[in-house]
Amino acid sequence: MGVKNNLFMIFRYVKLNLKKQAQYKTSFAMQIVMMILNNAFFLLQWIIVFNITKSIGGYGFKEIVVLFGICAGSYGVAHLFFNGAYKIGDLIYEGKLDVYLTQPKNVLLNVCSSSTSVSAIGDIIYCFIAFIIAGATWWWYLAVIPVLIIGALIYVGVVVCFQTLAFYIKRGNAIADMISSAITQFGAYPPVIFDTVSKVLLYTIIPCGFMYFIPMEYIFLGFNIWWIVGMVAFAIFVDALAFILFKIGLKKYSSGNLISGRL
Amino acid sequence: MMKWFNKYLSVFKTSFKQEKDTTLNIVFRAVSFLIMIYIFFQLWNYIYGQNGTSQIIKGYSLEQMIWYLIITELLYYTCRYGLIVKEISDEIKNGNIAYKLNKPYNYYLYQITSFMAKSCFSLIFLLPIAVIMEFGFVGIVPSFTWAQIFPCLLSVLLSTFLSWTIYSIIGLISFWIQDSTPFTWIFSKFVMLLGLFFPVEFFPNWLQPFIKYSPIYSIMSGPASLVANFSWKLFAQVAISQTVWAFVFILVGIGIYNLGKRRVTANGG
Amino acid sequence: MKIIEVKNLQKTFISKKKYKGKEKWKHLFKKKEKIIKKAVDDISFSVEEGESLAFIGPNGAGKSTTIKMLTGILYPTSGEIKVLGYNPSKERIKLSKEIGCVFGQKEQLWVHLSAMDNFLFVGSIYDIPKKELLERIEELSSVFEIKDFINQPVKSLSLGQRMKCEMVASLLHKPKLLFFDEPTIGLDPIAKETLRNLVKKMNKELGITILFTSHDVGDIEEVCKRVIIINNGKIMLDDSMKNLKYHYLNKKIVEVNLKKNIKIKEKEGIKVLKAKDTMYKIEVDMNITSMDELMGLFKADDLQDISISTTPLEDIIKTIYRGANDEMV
Repeated sequence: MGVKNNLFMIFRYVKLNLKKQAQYKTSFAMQIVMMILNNAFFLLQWIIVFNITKSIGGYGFKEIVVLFGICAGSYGVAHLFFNGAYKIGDLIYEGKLDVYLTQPKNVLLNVCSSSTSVSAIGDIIYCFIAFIIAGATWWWYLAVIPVLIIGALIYVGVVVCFQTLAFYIKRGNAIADMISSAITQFGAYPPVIFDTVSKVLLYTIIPCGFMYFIPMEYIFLGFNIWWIVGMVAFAIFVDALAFILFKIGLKKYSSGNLISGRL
Repeated sequence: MMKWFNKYLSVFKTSFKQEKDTTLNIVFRAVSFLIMIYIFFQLWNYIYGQNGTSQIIKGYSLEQMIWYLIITELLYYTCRYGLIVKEISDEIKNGNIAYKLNKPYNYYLYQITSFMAKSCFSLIFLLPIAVIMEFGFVGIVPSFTWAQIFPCLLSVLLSTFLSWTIYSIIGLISFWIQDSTPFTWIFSKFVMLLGLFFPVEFFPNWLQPFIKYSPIYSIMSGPASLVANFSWKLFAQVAISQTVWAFVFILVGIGIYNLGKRRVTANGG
Repeated sequence: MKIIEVKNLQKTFISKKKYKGKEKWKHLFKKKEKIIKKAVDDISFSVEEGESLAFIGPNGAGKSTTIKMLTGILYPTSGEIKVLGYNPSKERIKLSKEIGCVFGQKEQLWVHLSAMDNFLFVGSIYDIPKKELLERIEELSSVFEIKDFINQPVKSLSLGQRMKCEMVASLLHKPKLLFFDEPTIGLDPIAKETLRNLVKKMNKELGITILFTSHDVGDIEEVCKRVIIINNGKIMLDDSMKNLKYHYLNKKIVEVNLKKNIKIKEKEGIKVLKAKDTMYKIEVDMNITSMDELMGLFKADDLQDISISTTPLEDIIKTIYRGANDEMV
């Protein structure tokens, strides 16, 4: 019942947000097309790299295409359904959580799903285009859907954990933004190139490892059930942590009126 | 002439002071800059390592490649080009530009000066980081001499200036077209692909002359190659092409601005 | 039945002192001095079902903070709150299904979409079954007369129409209690009047308990039957509108213009505020004396013009605030 209602809320939000933005048809289509091109552009640099060397630790052009497809795809899923997560810090700082607090829904879920990015659709479409370019089998198309969802859930969870810093410090959201962009920066490169220090980071606070590298290595290139279980477990852990941290932080929430007091 | 210079100097100073408020933003940008270099370092380290160390790819050693990338990334992080384009096109779209038309300065030159100040402020933070990374992590490239520091710095500043002259023109396109973002996007993508990621030597032979004579080379590859592989001859080439392009774009910019200005008064009634 | 019960409620905000210039560097590594502000300082009150209660006070008095604690937005520092039997900070979700909130100036509607789209959205937030929701929309749209424009985008509606839609949206889930936090702030006089009438309608026709904050006295005079005046986080006065008027509105201001220059003597309860030639401004305290006494001071024949008025409520409240500040000193 609860799960169904919450899913219903999320989809209703997405539908209304898209409906709102679809009023400006050209700009709506532009945003999506531009994002697809933007992602495609990234591949051009790899053409030049693979002119110099045949492969990078087993990653050829095809593997890079798939890896970056997963990156873009889960970024897209996260920003389509949970774009609000990336704005939590600002909302906390500006005291704008009030409306969500008066509604009978989980506040975090409500805030996260309240906003939708249109260009995210382009990211998701791009993911499937990438799979076509790479000549994926039917099984890859099937597997990529849960991979994108779990990746998005990890991404959003980590971002929320850092956004809750805004309850305590003024520029908490900037730290979260930094982590968020680091995830996209690291995610697009083959995992073999990274040294130990990076690897520790990539399986903790910048969890590209769980989001992209495990699915890449153990679902698309090979198969290992334990790594996949680990990925799901990490998703559950990080999302649970996000809910707990947010709930604790909420006690510090000071609504809009303290801000006016500060000025 | 002196008066004219003083006017824009004070624009520069004021913008520079105002930028102090955003210090924290720059710190965060510096972290992102560090991460990017760190990733590139590992990528190229791996590529060079795969084929046996101390090899040369297209005339670049690993050290030179990393020095090159540090400079192009530095230039990229110094110019938040999205900002100037958005500022100019917003001002044109919402009509605020009307208030600036009657001021005794040229709006186009004003914007370039003001954004140059922002870039210089960013450089104060980013340049030391870049220098530390070059000397501390990567090591000295064979061609390095202390004498190259001043010409290299000059070339970096000229590159930033050239970037602003071009991006401001893209912003001015808003006089005619509602949204100039796609133009920014296309141009910045070309800058990235043809300059940020690779030196000119990495591209197919037929493409190289086109890149070399384009402004993109003056913005990215030119100054970066200069730092990675310094020679006075190269400096002269790069500096001349930077100056020539900057003059060309300033003339074009002022021309476009004067044409666009008329459209404001037409809409103003 | 008591709908709201508040006991010894307190809320303190802690902020750190800010330093400027050289001071900033001096305190960079030192622990910063804390500034403790008591926004709500030990208040207690209760509200009965069906009441319409106004919370008034100057900016920063603590009225919004109180409302936000009652609705579960803010956690109280100490004290007890029971709203409809729930503890707002612990049973927020259950409570929110039975209350409604309208915050001034903050648009709760999606302006690019139609009112109908908005109502359907609210329905999904409050888990209202579709059939029930449609019936409720039908019912409320005839009460508030919004049927003609229910399918137009909200941005194309007039302010008054928007307000009606906003009210309908806040009533879809059948709340028993409605909170209004500064709903009239920034509205023009006509819009204010519309809003006041809508709120009155809700209270009288739909029997919803109303809690209203404002610093506009006009709102309260028209809408509410009971007033709580709050200042510096403390309750200064908790009384019915009638009593407030009786105790504080008992002074009449009489302005007379006489034919001849007659000297009017002051008596107990009669005070001359201003005298210029034949014009007098006199304050009469109706608890002590009566109009007859005043009339006895001059002949009816000498009277050229007379006007009688009461002290505006605004002035009374100012007196009460000032009294509070004097105590503080």
